[in-house]
Amino acid sequence: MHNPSMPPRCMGLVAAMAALGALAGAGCGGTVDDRPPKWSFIAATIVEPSCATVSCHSAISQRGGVDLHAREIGYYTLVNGFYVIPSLPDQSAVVSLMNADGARRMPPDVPLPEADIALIETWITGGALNN
Amino acid sequence: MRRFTLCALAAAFTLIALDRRAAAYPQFQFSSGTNRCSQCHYSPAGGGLITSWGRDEAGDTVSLGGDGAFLHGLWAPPSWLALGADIRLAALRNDVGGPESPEYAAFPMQSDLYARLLFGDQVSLYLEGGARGDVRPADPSIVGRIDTISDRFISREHYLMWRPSATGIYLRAGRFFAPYGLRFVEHTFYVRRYTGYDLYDETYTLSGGYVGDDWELHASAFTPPPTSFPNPLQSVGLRESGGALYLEKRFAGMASVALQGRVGTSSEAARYQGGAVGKLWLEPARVLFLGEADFIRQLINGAASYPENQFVSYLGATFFPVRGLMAGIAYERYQEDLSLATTARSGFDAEVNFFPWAHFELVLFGQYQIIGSGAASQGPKASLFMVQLHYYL
Repeated sequence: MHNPSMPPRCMGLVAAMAALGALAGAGCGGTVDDRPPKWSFIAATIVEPSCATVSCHSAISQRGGVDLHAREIGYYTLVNGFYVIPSLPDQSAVVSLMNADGARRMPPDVPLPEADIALIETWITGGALNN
Repeated sequence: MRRFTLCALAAAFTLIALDRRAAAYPQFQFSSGTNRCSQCHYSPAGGGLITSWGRDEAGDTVSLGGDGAFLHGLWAPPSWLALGADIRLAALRNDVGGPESPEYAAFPMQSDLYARLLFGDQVSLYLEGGARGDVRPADPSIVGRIDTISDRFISREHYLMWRPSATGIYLRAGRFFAPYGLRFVEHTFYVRRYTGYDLYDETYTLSGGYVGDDWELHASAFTPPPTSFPNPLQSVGLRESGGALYLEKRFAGMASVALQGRVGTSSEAARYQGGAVGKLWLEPARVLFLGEADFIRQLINGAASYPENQFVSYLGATFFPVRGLMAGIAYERYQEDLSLATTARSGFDAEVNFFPWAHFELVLFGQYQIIGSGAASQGPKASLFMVQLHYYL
């Protein structure tokens, strides 16, 4: 069933795969964080993909009574539940959880990069607006 | 064997504990001598219930022995009916740092039942159902959790399909993933998790295309379940509506290249992604290389002045040293923001799959993740080791 020899055109595929691998390993970007510290951005790019997974803070699971599956409900869950204390990141439980500071780390499978945590802290410092 | 089989059948229908995903092993394309995914699966894009061809392959090619047929061949359903089930039990050690790491857990991972009914020669109905579950036990003192088995029931896939023959054109409508990407069994791989294909992200989809011997094309339009739908029909994740396109070309039964694109919009953002998938089977070395790379651009309502450009990829090699065994290593990359190096995640995976007998599988999976940029990153590290016992009916 198998073709034991590699046709010449498949050599190109090998090269393509190698290029794909090189691309996969490439690191990109600088070190200056220009991202907007706005809840609309944080919810869509950090919180929902990392936290609103099926067994965690999705609409159908709501682990810990926390629903982060959408921007509005996620905002009010965090603020009204006092996981976020506007202007006070050091007193906001969500920061302690993300840093595993005296608590189980969140998310418990793929930790957030420090840059993401810093962005969330900046948003909280700025008043944790629903913007 | 008959007694064991009956026990296994009983277990399949009573051990409803956790549903995982549409099981698919893209590693078997080419390496098992099978050219296209839909030879082994009823789905034209692969995944889910396996065909009689797939069952024969399971017994004769993949496993060390046994009969891969339904019920180990003890009873054959009529030609208009195909049945199946998947059960997985798992144990893991997970370490992400912090006061509660490492954590240990043993849990039922998957219980899926499948049925495919054929009406005439061209139309079929595919049904799947199972129960969601958790790695971590629920805290009864906390409200908002769903913990009863009935509340955990979910049907990830159910669709009606018109397909005149095994190759050629098809059309299907219902709940399933729009064909895209490598479609790994492991939903935690970055190329699934960050492209809209995480666990239970299945959408309601209208999909059509062509499957030939050397190429296939799938075009899909999708939308999330309405919020009025009950939980068993709900999806998780992006809740986007949009379309996807997947075009795969195969070469000499040993390689494939696919181009793909997906556009999705929701009330919160618009998301444009595209990339490529490749596979290469080297028969002399008995190694299959698999790769996928996607670029993603998000425009977020409320922050649209800052377009978020992302990259996600997978590159792996799977070795088939002897029949019944496959061992793979892989490197994964996800960069949440291409302009900021410190938002990268790198994953290093190792996996061994042992198929001692048809219907049985033992999986050993390990993953080490570096969060941040490069091995010298000061960000957190994460390690996972998992053992799975898999039985399919």
